[in-house]
Amino acid sequence: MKSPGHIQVDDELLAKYLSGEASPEEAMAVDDWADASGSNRALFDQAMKLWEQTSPGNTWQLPDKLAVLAAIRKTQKPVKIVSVNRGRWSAAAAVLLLLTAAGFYGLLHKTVAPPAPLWVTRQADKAELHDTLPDHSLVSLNNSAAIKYVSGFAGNTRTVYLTGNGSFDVTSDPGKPFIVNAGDIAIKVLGTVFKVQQDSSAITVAVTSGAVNMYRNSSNLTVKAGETGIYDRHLQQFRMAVADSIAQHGKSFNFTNASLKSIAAELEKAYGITVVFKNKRLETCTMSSAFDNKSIEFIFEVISITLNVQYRIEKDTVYISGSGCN
Amino acid sequence: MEKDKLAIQIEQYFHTWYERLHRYAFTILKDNDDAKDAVQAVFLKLWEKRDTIDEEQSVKSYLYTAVYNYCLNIKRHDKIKARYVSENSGIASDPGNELMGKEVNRRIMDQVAALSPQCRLVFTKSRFEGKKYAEIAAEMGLSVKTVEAQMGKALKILREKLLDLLISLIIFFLL
Repeated sequence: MKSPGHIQVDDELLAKYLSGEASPEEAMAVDDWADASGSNRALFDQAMKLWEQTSPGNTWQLPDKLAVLAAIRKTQKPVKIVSVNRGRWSAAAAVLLLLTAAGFYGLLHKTVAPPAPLWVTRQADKAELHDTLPDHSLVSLNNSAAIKYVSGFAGNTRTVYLTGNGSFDVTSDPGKPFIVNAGDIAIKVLGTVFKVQQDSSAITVAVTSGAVNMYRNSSNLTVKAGETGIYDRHLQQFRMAVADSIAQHGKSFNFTNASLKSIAAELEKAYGITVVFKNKRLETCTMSSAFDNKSIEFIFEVISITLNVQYRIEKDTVYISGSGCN
Repeated sequence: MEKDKLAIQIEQYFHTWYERLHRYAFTILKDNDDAKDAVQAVFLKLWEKRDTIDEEQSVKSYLYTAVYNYCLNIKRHDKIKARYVSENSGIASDPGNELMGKEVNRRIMDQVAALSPQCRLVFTKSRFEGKKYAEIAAEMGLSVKTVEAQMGKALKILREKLLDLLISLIIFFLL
């Protein structure tokens, strides 16, 4: 009864899951295991039936999915842009560029109007598309993402226009910079590893090693290793941010009934941030959760949902507010 | 339009994970509507946060973790257990099938009675009294690990002894 997640799924874990005692990892393991074969599913159904029959309360019933989906659609906010974080690191000379750009195709055509002699366009279907660029850089596109570049990278730069989600593994060529146009800014690769995230309010570039130059018209920002640059779409300005907020390695936490105060203290140490409680009462809120190499945004998002508190990240300070959790 | 593609992607996550997440939430909350609200809240959060979450594996783990935390938070606020116990006493039976329900009850109770004393007590406290593993452990002076093991043992034995009954109940439900 092996599960894909290396958690052994046996009667003990099934009973634990059905009794509402399973951790998220265990629940995932049970579900994956049940989906893995028909005999697993049959066993799962039998265990579930036994639990139903011995339940003093309700039995599980799947709600009308379409009605739930309709409710979610109705309340959803205007669509923002999804970013992709795909790790891929080949040679030392290579530059790994993780990038997302979406919804700016029309804008790109207007604002950046290169004398296009011969354009090459590559678009991914439903499956991921892997392609080699003229300079042997590699690109992976998914979700109908598309790139566009001048045939053979003719000219003084290697310029790529990207819509949708994609990751680039760029070969080094100092004489011919690699430039990625994303939204209304461009990112010049100066030999580095970095990641770009975009949403409707900002484009964020977190640099792990080396440096990049973010620029738009005459304004620009050079972002070096360990730093994060942010382009505010509304103010149309560049600024620096918490570098560690996106790039993080080897940060594992396991909080068991821990106070928010002690959780904050650990996160402060690990991420080099400062956590400010606007309401001191929140320090005593407790929660249990495990985080394995998660971004600071992810962690505070989970905390926010769990304890019903609000958070705001400003540079290297995280502000926690709310009326209380108990 | 990109917007549509993104909407499709999120909705794909919904279709892929909704059933699992709702069932997981139900095991914790023991209430279908509360579970529905929990999963819906988590998906709405995903809509808002989809620019910081990426890759299927990470989305999956985020969803499970968020549902778990959300449910624990709800449980802390509500007196779910009080409701759970007071609303329902005795084993559930389908009112439309009194006779069948009685027969099913009798067979299950016979097998529960045949469990070893500690195993039977743990199972009874968990299933019929709706107690948490930690509560049972504290009451009986056992470790939670032992409670887990006894519950696993009970499931295994009852599953085997009641196999024909469970299968016919599953088939009956499908009809």
